[in-house]
Formats: sequence, C-alpha cells, structure tokens
Amino acid sequence: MQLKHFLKSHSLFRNLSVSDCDALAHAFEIREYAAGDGIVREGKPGKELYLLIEGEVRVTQYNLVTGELEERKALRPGELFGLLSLIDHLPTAAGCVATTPVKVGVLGRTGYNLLAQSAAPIALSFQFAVAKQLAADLRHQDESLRRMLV
Amino acid sequence: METARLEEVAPKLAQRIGSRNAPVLAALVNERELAAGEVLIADRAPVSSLFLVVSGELRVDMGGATQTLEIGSLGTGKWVGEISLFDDDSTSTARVTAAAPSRVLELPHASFWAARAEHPDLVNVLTKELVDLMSERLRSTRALLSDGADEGIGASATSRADRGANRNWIRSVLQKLTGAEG
Repeated sequence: MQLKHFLKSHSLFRNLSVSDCDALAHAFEIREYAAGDGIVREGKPGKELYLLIEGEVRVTQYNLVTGELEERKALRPGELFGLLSLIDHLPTAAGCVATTPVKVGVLGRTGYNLLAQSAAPIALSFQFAVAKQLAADLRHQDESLRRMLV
Repeated sequence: METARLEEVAPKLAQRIGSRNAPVLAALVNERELAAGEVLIADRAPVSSLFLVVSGELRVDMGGATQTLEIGSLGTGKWVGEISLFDDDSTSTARVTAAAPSRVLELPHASFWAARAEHPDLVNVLTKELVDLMSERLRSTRALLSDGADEGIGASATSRADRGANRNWIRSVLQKLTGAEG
C-alpha cells in the first residue's frame, strides 16, 4: 500500500488535506528491520519518530515503581512510537524491538519541525498523538502506584 | 456562557487562548457550582468532561484494595480530567471532591472533539497547554520514582518503617502525577 494511502486511512491523519498528506508522506523515510532487531533503546536520546507500516513491534519499559522490566504493549501497523522524546528532547522512555520483520516510516526531528511549522493540521495531529501517549503513560503509573496501596 | 463571564472567572485562560478564541470557548463551556463535600468525579468512574477550577478548592484521593490515600488539593487555575480526555480509557484516576464551595468550568469531551474541525486554533492551544502540563507531570514523576528506587523505597519497602515511608512516598509521587498540592 502506498504510504500516502496508509496515512489517509490513519485515524490521526484522516482530516488532513490531500496536499498535507502528500507532504507528510514525502517526509517519511521507509526503513526495514528483521525480527529481533532493536529499533529504539530505552534511555537513549530520541532523534526520530516511527510509524509502523508492516509487522509487529514489542514495547518494553523499566517500571520504576515495581523495579521490573515490563512488556508494555505490542504495536500494530498504524501506531506511532518514539514521539515523546522527539517532542520534549528527553531520553526515550521505553525500548522497542521488532518481533517480526518490520517496515516503518521514519521522521527525524528536522523533518518533524519543518512539517509542524508549515502545516498546522499536521502539527495538531502529532499533538494529539503526543497527548494520547502522555495520558496513557500517566495512567500506567497511576495504576502501578494504586496496586501498592494494600 | 457569555465571553465576558469567561474573562471574569478565568482571566488567565482567556488571555492564553486569545481574544479570537475566547468567545468560542465561552460557547462550549458550562459553569458549575459545587457544594462542600460534593463529588465532582468518582474514583474509577467514566469521565466525560474536562474541568478547570475557577474558585474554591477540590480534594483528590485514591482508593487501593483496602486503603484510601488522600493525595492533596487542586486550587484555582488547575485542570482536572485531562488524562480521560486523551486516553482511550476515559475512567478517572482518582476521586475529586469539593473541599469547600467551589466553582468549575466544564468542557464536555464531545464539544472539545467537535471543535477540532471548526475551531482548530482553539483546540490546538488547549491541546498544547494540556500536553505541556502532562509532560511536566510525567517528567517530575519519573524523577521522583527514580530517586525512590535509588533510596530503596517503593517496591522494595519491606519493614513497617519502610512501609510508612512508602505511603508518604506514594503520596508525593501521586501529587506530582495529579498536580495536587499537599
């Protein structure tokens, strides 16, 4: 499937105009990983965001509340990762490993900044993705702490 | 509500969103009065609105399996319910009760999302504000969690004294997480 059509069917980018969608599709670099390849390492500086196009990626995170390495979720095509550290320049908060052969769209910080400045709808779409991720992470920590109230 | 009323009860918010967006937001929000002791959001209940405290004080607490922990309070200018707005799971992460007669602005989630197409500038400004807020909370929570892990509290607490320190530590982390003040 062409990346442009893939983006247009994505819930985050569905409202983008044809030209904005084209611009976004052109900004992504396509990259492939073999099963078992590490894509993002937890705690390292984040320079890129990734859009999973094909395959499955496992997200792991060291839980500071329990002290355990947790498998947070399995990502499916259409999901974004690496976004938070790109936005706030902090080290990545989770690790991401390909569990099958994987194809991703990769967007570096420069490309992201150019897009966000040039097209408000694209910036807003990414803002929503960031907000959703932050909300999910805050809830996860809330639940971990709640389990300690025994 | 009228734009003038929004500017009167939430002047800082009205200034942040700008004069073009203030009438739009005023048309979307309701003003709610809460009596002391009235529950605004029940623990683990579905949440369908975002709230801004414009007067009074709200108390935040959370229940575990057998304990309830009072976390702190939210005063004027504090947002409530931002996690439920953006997360797929819209249930509350704590109970929020009016500690004194209070007033909040209520923005239904449905109104927020409906405004995305027609008023993207307002939605963008509000989203950015909430993203900055949640990002700061996550960052400061992680720093506190990391310090706790280093000092052997948190999950590694085993003795009674440790568990006492644990409860205080949990409270301080939850204060960062919710924005409540102790």
